[in-house]
This record gives sequence, C-alpha cells and structure tokens, in this order.
Amino acid sequence: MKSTESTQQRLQRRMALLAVAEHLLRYLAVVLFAWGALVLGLRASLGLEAAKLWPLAAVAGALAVLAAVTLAVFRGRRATPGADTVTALVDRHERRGGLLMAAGEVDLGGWREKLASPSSEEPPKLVWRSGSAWTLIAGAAAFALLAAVVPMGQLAASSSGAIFDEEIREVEEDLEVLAEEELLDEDLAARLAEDLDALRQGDTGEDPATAWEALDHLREIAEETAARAAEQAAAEDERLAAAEAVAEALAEEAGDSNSETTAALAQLQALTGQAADESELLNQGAAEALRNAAAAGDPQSLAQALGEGRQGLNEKLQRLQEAGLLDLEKMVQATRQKSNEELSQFLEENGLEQAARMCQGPGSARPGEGQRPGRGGVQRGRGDAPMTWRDPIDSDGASFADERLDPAAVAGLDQSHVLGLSAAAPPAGDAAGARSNGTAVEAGAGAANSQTLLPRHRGAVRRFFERSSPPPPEERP
Amino acid sequence: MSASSATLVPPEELKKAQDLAASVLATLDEILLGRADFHRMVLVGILSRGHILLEGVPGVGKTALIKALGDILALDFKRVQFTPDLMPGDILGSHILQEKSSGEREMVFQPGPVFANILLADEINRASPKTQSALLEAMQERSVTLLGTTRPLPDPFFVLASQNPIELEGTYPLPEAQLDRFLMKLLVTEPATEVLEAIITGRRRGEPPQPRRRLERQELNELLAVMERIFLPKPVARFIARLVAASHPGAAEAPTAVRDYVSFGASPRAAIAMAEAGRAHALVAGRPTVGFEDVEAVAPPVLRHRLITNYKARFDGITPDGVVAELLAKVEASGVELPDHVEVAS
Repeated sequence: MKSTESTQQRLQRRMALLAVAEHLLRYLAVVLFAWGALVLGLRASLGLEAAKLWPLAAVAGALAVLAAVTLAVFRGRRATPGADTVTALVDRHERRGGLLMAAGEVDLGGWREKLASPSSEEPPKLVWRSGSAWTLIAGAAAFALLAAVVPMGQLAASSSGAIFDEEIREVEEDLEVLAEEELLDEDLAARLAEDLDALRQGDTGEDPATAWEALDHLREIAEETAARAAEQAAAEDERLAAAEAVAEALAEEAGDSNSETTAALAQLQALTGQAADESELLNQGAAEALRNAAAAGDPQSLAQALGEGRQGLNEKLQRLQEAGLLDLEKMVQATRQKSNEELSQFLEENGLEQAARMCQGPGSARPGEGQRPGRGGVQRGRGDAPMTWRDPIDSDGASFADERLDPAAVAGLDQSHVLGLSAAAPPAGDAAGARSNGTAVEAGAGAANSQTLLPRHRGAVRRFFERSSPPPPEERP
Repeated sequence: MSASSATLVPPEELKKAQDLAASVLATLDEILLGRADFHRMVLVGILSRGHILLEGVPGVGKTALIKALGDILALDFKRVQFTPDLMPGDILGSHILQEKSSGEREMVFQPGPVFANILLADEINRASPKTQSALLEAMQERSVTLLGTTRPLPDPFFVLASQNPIELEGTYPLPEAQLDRFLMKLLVTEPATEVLEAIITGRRRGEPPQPRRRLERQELNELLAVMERIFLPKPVARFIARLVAASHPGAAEAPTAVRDYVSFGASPRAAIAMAEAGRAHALVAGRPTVGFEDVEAVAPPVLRHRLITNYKARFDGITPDGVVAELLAKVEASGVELPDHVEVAS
C-alpha cells in the first residue's frame, strides 16, 4: 500500500515537474526571442554598442526570466493532475481493476492484502518528447546571442564605407579638375582637400547622415564653381570673338593703312591687353601670347592669338563637361529660356500680350516654334488648344469672287456669332445641331437643308443624275 | 453500492458468486459451442437485470441461446414469435368475460406471455409498432397496465429479443425509444469452421444437450445481491459520464468520428446501463470494484444501438461500433490531462 502511495506521489511530482518544464521552455523561448529583438532594435535604432547595452539588457533579461519561471511554475502546478486522477492512472496502468481507486473511498476489508501485493505491471512512466521544445529554445538562444554580439556598427560602416569612399574619390577628382584649370583659389582648394581628408579618415559609420551631408556640400561647391566658370567663359568668349573679328578685318585691310585703321588697331591693342589682364579663365600662356600680340600690333598675329585664346576657353569648358561638372546642353537650353523671357518681357512692354503669352507657353521658345500641330476646327480639342492649320494658306495670286448674299442671309449674319474661321466646309450635321439649339439664327428662305450623303449611296445618286432622260410619252390617239 | 456502505463485498462471498457465474458460463459454453465472450456478455446483461437485443442472421443460434439460458436459470420462460398481425393483447394478456358458479359474470384477466421471467421476443422487428410499443411499459416499469389496473411482472424479468438484419422487407424497425430500453445489443455472428465441425460431428441434428446444472432461484438471487454490492469508484463513474457526454457531436470532448458521423448521442439511460453492466462484468471477472477495463468491455454493446449515425456514416461505411472504438480510444479513461509533449509510456 505504501509502495503504491509512494508510486503515486512520485508520479504526481514528476508530472508537475514535466508540466513546469514544458511551460518553462516555451516561455523561455518567447523571452529569448523578445530579448533578442529588443537588443537588436535598440542597437539598430540608437546606434549603441553592445557593451553599453549590457546592464540594461541584463536587467531586462533577468526580470523576464524571473517572470517566465514564475508563470511556468504557476501554469505547471495548475496543469498537474490531482491525486484522484493520478490514482486512477496508476490503477489503470497496474490493472488493479478499480481497487486502488476504491481504497480512497471505502474500506477495502479483505481486499487490502491483495492491494498490498506488488503489481505485476511496471509503474507508469512518463515520456517527455521534448525535441521540439529544445529546438525552439536553441533557436531562440541563438537569435539572442546573435542579436547581442553581432558587430552592427562595423557592419554598417563596412557596407556604406565602400560607397562613401567612391563618392569621396569622385568629389576629389572634380576638385582636382577645377584646380588644374585654375578655377579654384589655393586657399579654398586646400580647405576643401582638408575637409575631404577629414571625411575619409572619420568613422562615417557612426554618423553617416552628417558625412553624407558634408559630401553633398563639397560636391555642390564644385558644381557651382564650374557653372560660374562656364558663364564667365561664355562672356569672355563673346568678347574675344568680337575682337578676333575686328582683328581679322584689320588684317584684311592691312595694305590700306589710314588714320581710322590705325586708331582702330590701337584701340584693339588696348582692349586686347585689358582682356588679357582681366581674364580669370585664360591660362598664363594664352594671356601672355595675347599681351605679346597686342604689344606687337600685328593684326594677323593678334587675330591668331585671340583665336587660340578662345580655343583655350572652349577646351576648358570641354574638360569640365567631361568631368561631369557641366552639362552644356542644359546650359544652352537655359540660355534660350532666358532669351525667351527677355523677348516676352519686350513684347509685353510694347502691347503685344498675346504674342508674349505664346512665348511663355509650355515648350514654345518662339511663336510657332516647337508647337505640335493641332487638328484644327472650332470643335476639336480643348478650348484652350491653339488653332493651327495643317497646310499653310498662301493667298498670293488668289482671286476671290464677290458673292451677293440675299437679304435674309445678310440679316442672319448681323445676329450671328463668329465661332471660328476655317478653310474647310462646315460639317452638315453640325449645322443642323446649331439650328436646333437656337444659338444660330435661321437663315430663312435662303438656307438650304443639306444632308450628308453617305459614300455607299453616292453611286446610286450619280446613276440617277447620269441616267438618260426617258423619251416623252407618245400621245395617245 | 455507495460509499456510505463502507465495506467492499468480502472476497469469499465474491468468490462464491463468481463461481456461480462461471458455472452458468461453462454450461452455456457446453450447450452452445465457441462463443465464450458472447455468453459472458449475455450473462452480464442478465446480472444487470437488463433486456438484451440479439441481432444476427437466421440459424446462428439466437433462439437456442435464449432457450438454454432459460433452462439454466430455472426461470419461467415464454416465447413469442412476432408477426405483423400480432396484437398487443397477444403479449400483454386480455380480459375475458367468465361466468361464475353463481351465475354472475365478470371480466377475468388472462395474463399474456409477458408475465414470465424471461420473454423471448423472436424477430421483434416483424411486429407492428403498436405491438412493439406494448412492450415499452413492461420493459421499463416491469409492470403491465390494462383497463386501469397495473399488474407487476415477475421478478426478475428479462426481455431477450432477436431480430434479423437482412430480411428488412415487411419489418418495422424498432423505434429509438424502445431501442434505448434494451440494456445492450449483441451481434450474433456465424460460428467458426472448427465450431461448425464440432456441432455436426458431436450432435445429431444439431440439438444441444440438456444443461448439466441449473441455477436455482436462490442462487440467482444471491448473485444479484452480490452484484448490488460491486463498488463503482468515482473516477470510473466520471469516465462513464465523459464517454456518454462525448458521444454527442456538440460535446467539447467529442472525437472527430462523433462530430462527423453521429446525429444523436447516447442518453443518460446509457450511462446507467454502462455502470450496471460494468458492475456485472466486474462480478463475472471476480472483482469487487468496477475498473476502467470493465467499462471498456461493456461500452460497445451498450452504446452501439444508442448512437444514431447520419447519412454520411452510412455513405462512408462507418458503423456505430467504429464510432464507439474511436470514442474509447480518444477519451482518456483516467482523465489525466498531460502537457502536449508528455505521455504515459504503455
């Protein structure tokens, strides 16, 4: 009897233990997953190092584990079968036929001895198939470990570092081009180089936003410098081109020396020398050649020096474009747009607002230029669509015959509205529609009720009019 | 027996009762060969004071069994062959106008065959529903009421009915209310080849031998008295209750087979029948208490005619026995609810 009781107690304890263990493993897995996700989130969002998170993570983990253990013990104890149930289980397993269960309810009498005898059956054994639980908790532990030790900062730096170095190298090349073309001050160039070195040496993984912002600023400086140089080069090129034309003209009239050409040559020499001194874009060799040519006073060599100077400017712009600092095509479009705006302003000042609006229209650099031809007609397209003609009308040499309108038509025209002018014949259907809505005045007796002749009926109509006239009926006697 | 009676039936007393039951079984086994388990279940039904419905094809020994049982138990035995034109009065009895010696006339009750200890209702499903219903009161109340007078039936009273499952033309299937009044439904199967050989070699024209031992009424009463003292532990009673509850498709513990194939589950009368049959099974096995194994042994015959299966079950070939088997497999007897991955090693 005692052995049976001890068997039941052992079984009950083991059931409780397994229930607690089952719940504990499940809750620990949840805790580990949650802890790992928390650590990972904190490290990713706050950029904290793992070492700095350890105190907080350890406290949070300890509290969570404590809560999991408490909850598992609570749930495990609740899930543990009662003594009656365990007794029933043992009774069934040992094939006691209800005697063990009855022992707790009635006096067994003479059956107590039989119950005291050991059963031929083994006491029930509990089997815990814990493979999935251990797998789950192993996965959770691995996740938590990875979340705690994975070097996120270095990973982030190494992943973005390669891109960052490439960007730095590109900006550095741009600055080198500007420096070679003498478009940057030495002080500014040195300062920008220092900034680039600082960006390259700094731990960009810690604060990549600031580093990217600084890099964008440097790139912006380089592009603005190049754009400014391009505008300046265009202006200087214009001046040099004018001077070159004058020099070529003087060279052609070199044999006809007079006071005017001499004065003009002197003025050209002075202007060329001034341009060579004031130019910021001409390199030293070209400026020196201009000064020498100006001093020599030979129009031929002066024209040649001016041409070489212009070529140097063009080569400078070309190199800036090759370096990606300039987009000459965009610059040309911008210049054209600027000229359009100036033209529009001029037209408005002179009372031509409609023409000015056409200049400001989308995609219309000049009146009529770049417009897509419309389909024409007052009933086609949107209301604000420009009216264009498919074929140009040439009225030269055309003769118009006067046509006298009947009085009713003239009266109708007085009250009519001009909806549009077209070279094509108005559609018959539309005319009928205009009559029906009352906006157009009925032309009276002069108006014809025209009907649209469908193509398939044209043959029949033609045959009707082409038929031979029937012979007149013979008179009957 | 309740817990307040405090003591289990003594081993010696139980041993004597078990020997009596064993002798009845041995005699039955001698008369009808090769059906020891079936005979045990019939005896369980008798000891439970329940009515038994035997179902089997003709010629498998249903009537012979019941006649042999009547002989062995030394009880009053009546047989009624049910036919469609059988009237309730043919079973219950009727009043006859008789003239006394004084010339006075009076209505005298002439008892029918139901007034016996054992009533063999042969091919019960051939009688009309009106006649079948005449047995309802007799089976449940063990009394007959005619013309306002209630007459008790002899004690003990058993109805042992047989029905043929194949000749369904011209039959009237028993209503559910009457089926529920049968403690158990036993399926009588064809005997094995060896048994057939023994029958045709050892018995002329297949006639069974006379019983060597008859159980006296006093002995039967002693058996029934011991049966009353077989103890039903609470966990076993809980198991019976859970089994019956789980036989309903809407129950939380109902297994898939019940949910899919059962329209109506077992009634509370089934739980009572299972408890009584469990007691009798324990007595026959020589145990003073009912164990889980007793319930599992009597559950199929007690439940099979009480589970109303649906059309899907017939379509899928699922029998009530199959549903009961899954019921027993899914409902944990001890009621232990272990964690998901913990189980008891078998």
